[in-house]
Amino acid sequence: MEGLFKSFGKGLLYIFVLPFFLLVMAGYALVGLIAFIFLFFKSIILFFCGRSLDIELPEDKKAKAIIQSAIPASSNPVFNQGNMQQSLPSNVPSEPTPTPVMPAPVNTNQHSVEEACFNQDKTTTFENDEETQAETNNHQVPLQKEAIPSIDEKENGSAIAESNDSNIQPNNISEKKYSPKKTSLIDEPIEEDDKKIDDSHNGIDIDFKDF
Amino acid sequence: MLIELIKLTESDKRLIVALLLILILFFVIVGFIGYLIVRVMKWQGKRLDTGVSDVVYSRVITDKKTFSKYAHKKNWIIFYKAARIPVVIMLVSSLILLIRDIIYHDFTYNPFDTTEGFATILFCWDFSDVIQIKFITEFSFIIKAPILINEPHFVLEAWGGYLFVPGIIIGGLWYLWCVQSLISRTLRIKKLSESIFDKNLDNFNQNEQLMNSLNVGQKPITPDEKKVEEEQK
Repeated sequence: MEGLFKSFGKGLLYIFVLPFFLLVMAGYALVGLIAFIFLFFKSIILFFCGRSLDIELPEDKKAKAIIQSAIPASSNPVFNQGNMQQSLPSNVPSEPTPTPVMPAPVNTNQHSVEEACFNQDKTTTFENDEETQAETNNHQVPLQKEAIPSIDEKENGSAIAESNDSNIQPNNISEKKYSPKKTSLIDEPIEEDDKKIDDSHNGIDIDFKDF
Repeated sequence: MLIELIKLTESDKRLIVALLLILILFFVIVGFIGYLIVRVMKWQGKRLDTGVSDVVYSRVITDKKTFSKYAHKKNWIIFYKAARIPVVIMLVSSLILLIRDIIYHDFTYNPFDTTEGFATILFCWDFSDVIQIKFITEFSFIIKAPILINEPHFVLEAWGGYLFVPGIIIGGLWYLWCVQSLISRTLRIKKLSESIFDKNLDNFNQNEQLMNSLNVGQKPITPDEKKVEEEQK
């Protein structure tokens, strides 16, 4: 009964709001039509200039480059699955380990997406400096701190773009291309063989809590 | 006094109750439709996050104004890309109507007409005399059945209407859907630009932090006690 009265009240409210909503909608439809015509001619001009009206703006390209450069530097095994697979010989079949697999301890050094894109908090970096060094040695992936901008650099918008563009080297870019729409890097299920490889490395715990 | 003059019979009372119930039902249905529209608009607005999340995560954009400018620019490009198909449909429909008018040399053609328009393939009723209400001499409320004026039949000359009307309706509704998405994304941009760069001090108390660091309420340690503590260590 309460829900019915609530719906009744909302209905009454929507009846009053409806003319304004329609007015806003008509206004947006008109402005949208003008914008459509403008963008249509703009796209034609861009077409003859050899470019296209792309949905990917310069800011997106910068962000994409930053994220792509951060993926190989990340210690998160989710990002480095491709590298680990490549390091192993493909013709050797992975054998199941005879010993029972113990539950891996919770890795507190795992990074979220934000941490993967940037440096860790400076205090935590100093505290866990030795541990991170050992971890990077195990994974055979050197941390490329030059490629990752510091927080001070991030505040300067223009400086970051130049620094990132100049610092990104072809070696730093992982072979898997990052796409903002495609989340296969994260969402792809790990195959059985990969799981066994992870277990043999002893201590890699994939935690999705940050996602 | 006016109330005393109004004498309602039992059937009048029943009629008023029925009308009230219909009115309540109407508002409830409108409320439900409005709720659905709000939900759909929230869903449409959420789709913006896919496009703008990377620049926020990677700290390429770090202030509200730049984010708003960037997101609006992207919003208009998304709208342009989405609205291309409905606009093309509407243009093609209009072109068909123009060709039909040129062929028949008839620029006064009404595509919705019941004789040579789209309405020839529809059932059409005359609703002009359905409800008759009289208040002045006597209170009477008469409902008549609507008169059927057209049964569906195919007319070859109405081909322009047959092609134009569905095209314009589909294209128009599709375009309105795109406009609604545009409005939803605009509202989402406004909300995000306020929340992403928000510096919230709701749970922060500087005095509380200061008092915690001073060990308030504890007895001050004398130099002798301090020496004893050091010896114990």
